[in-house]
Amino acid sequence: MSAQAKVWMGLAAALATALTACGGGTAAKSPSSSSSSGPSLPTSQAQLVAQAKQEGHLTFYTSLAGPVVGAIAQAFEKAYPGIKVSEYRAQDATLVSKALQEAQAGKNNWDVMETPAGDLLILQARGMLAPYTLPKDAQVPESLTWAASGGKVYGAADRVSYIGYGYNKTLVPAADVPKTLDDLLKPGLAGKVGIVSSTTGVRWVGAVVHQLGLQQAQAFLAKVKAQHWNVQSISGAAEMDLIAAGQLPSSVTIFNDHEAQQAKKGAPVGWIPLEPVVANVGLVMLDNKAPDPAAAQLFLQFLLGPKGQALLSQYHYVTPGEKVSFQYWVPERGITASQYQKDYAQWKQLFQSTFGQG
Amino acid sequence: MIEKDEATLRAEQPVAQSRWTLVLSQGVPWAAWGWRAGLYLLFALLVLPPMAFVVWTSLKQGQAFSLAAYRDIFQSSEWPKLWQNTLVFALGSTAVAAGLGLLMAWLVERTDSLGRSGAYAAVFAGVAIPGMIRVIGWILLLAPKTGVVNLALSHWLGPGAPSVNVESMGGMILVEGLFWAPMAFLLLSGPIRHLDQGLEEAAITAGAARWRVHLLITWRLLAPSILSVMVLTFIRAIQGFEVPLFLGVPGNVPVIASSIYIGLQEAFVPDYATASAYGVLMLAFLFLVLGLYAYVTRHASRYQTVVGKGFRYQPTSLGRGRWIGGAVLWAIAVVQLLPALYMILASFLKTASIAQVGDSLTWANYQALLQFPGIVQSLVNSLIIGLLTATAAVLLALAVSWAMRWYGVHGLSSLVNLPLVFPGVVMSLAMLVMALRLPISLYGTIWIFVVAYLATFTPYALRYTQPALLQIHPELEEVARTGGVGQGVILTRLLLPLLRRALMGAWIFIFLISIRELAVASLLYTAHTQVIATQLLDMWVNGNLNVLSAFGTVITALGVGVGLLMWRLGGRGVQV
Repeated sequence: MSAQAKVWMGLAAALATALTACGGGTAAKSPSSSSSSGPSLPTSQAQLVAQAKQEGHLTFYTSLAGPVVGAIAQAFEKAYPGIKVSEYRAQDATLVSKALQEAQAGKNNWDVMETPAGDLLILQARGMLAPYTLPKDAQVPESLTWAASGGKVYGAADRVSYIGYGYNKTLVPAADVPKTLDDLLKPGLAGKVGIVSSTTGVRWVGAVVHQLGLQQAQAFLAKVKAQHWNVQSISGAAEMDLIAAGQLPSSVTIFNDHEAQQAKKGAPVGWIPLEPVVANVGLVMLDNKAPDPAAAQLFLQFLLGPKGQALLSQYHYVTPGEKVSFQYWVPERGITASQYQKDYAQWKQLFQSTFGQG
Repeated sequence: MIEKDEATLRAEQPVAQSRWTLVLSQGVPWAAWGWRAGLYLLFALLVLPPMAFVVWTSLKQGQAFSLAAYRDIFQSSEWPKLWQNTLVFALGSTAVAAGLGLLMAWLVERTDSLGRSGAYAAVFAGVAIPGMIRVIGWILLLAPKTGVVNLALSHWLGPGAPSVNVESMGGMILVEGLFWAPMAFLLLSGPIRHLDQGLEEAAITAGAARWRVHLLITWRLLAPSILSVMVLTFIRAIQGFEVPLFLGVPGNVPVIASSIYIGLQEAFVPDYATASAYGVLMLAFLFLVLGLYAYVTRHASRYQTVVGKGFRYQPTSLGRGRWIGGAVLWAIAVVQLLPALYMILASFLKTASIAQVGDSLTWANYQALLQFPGIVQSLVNSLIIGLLTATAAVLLALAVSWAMRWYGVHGLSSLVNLPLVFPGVVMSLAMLVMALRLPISLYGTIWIFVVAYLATFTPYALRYTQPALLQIHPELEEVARTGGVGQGVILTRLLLPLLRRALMGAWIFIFLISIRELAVASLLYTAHTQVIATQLLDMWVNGNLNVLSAFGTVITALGVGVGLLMWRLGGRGVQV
């Protein structure tokens, strides 16, 4: 390398290093942990709709899977022409991860998020949620809201999905269908059970820990390991598709609504609330720096109101006002964000040691 | 006095020169070195800060610096398995790729085997069909419980039928090896073709047994080339992303590259320090491998296969084995094409993951694709990113090549080529942590992709422009300058027409790999900046197999179209 080239390389490296040092020294743009009252919006509904149409767009992040997501977007666009919905679907951990990255980069992309409560805990702890007043026509019991100050909420449930045991009736004889956790260890089910490696699968392991206690859960999962369960890196809805198509006999991570959707199409499937049943309470949240705040407010009114609830019922989601006959567990209830993250990390480790992934 | 007509008068006028070209041709120092300095600075900014940010992030715990991330990795019970899996995967893929590539090159260059075009069909498949499409195609065919081959075996042979599991270390090694076999074939073809058989014949005439001739002469002469191919394939396999993600994760075979991605995408709060520490460890290992390779091959000139005189080439006659040779070559090509062909079929079926006899074909998946959210946006994003990246990369590569030719700036070449060592997911992570830290609005825009791809793919463009420029004798430019022609005119009227083919080939290649690239894009996209590859990834994760098959078919058709264009321009020497 010539002397001149060395000089240029050195100068270039020095400048690049200086740039790095400037950026590295700059504190990461962490979202503020103080609470926010959210954007100010028009008080009258007509003005709200007008402002929303002027915004013309909203971004909807959700962990809902299947055709319901597109149906919600289309129904809203039909109800409010001129407002385009961009929906983005991913598992809840990925949604939070993306939301945190975007906030750190100063690029708040989402307006409304609909995911289980674990995401709410983490986002609320970082002051990223805007509190809102529950719409008058929303029928959400208080137990399914996450309260903010001043009578407002950070999140309200639009649906509850229950994770249970879904199976193909032609591949799993009635006698083999499990009624308790221990029945999953029956020889007749060896190699016939699946589990997803996403957040849903990890939460199922968490439910086992919650039901049996840590030591017994570890012993139980050690026996499950010998049953050679089929682990899939797909959503619960996708796994239900495999069961309906006869490619997978059964799974412990099937949502009741997805099974009902397949059953309606005539697939030979069944679902039982095999305890411990995890309840994924889908909460509607607003970003406190939403790019389209008026459209976001209108969307949450739609989702929590009669039209949105009717649409979710059509896709067999249990709406907040409905009661179920079985016991269920909501993992996020009554704990802090840091406790939830700690618990989740423990469940994930158990999942990985049992199934090798996740 | 002779009157001159207008045309003659015009021809006698000196070539108009802009002030800038006048300055350049007269070699004003500040202008002459100014643009070179600009190139150094540009590539330093493209390449060095991301690397620096990865290292910095790996050492940052809160506000303090510490080695905690590295300590946690080395003390973790998962680390030995992760490291072992990564090595076994890379070594196994290397063996498969080099073995297949050597076999193909031997059959094509040293024998009279039939069906030699099969080898080039395999190369074309490697260039035209995106890696993710091939991997997903293999899953549709050979997933343990749901693959169509295993379902067929189970249907014909009963519940106890054997099954082929592609979601295993063996499956990963085979698929990754198949990925790189065409590249190995292309790289070994030349040395094998130019091997002087006179050396072998002399040894045989002297009484040496054939096996000793091959062992002590033929393979020793080819050793540096084979070693070079193996090192390159090993590095590519360590950097591999699609196979570990799609096959390794569900198959419980985690490697470092997939762990970086999973750790960030599937954690509620991303642990950048640990991910960056993994990235630094990968880079350190790859630099070590390259250093060892440079040391081992320091005497490679002793093994030159091309000699100046008495070169004789006589293909070995295989006799009836010619047909077997042809069958082998075409079998490799078919295996390369099979996953994509099945995906095309699956895109017309009601259920993409199985193919049952009697299923009627349908366009429903394509109809669903047209209505799939974000499809059009992802296509538009990819096209824009591809256009910008290809154009900028080719122009920069041309400038670097020209600077190397006239000013010997080999340091600049090293800087430009540095990202070749970066695994794609590490580059993605580096760009992400940099974008999150710097007060410039890159994240959430398509510009972050352009910057990342420019750093990653300019070295590939250099592989086109540098050899092409080397083929043009400097005398042409010297004569033009002596005649008073400015540099701008030399570039536009002299060099560009001669380099046109190479530049077009480079542009198309960079465009093709930009629009289908996954690893670098995997951590950089947002809901509004989806590209083709991340859209396919999301479809896969969300289980939208029907729509994925349709979209994959569309992308494959696009890749084949562009690949055919490249083939037409570049002939059989298409680089992968």
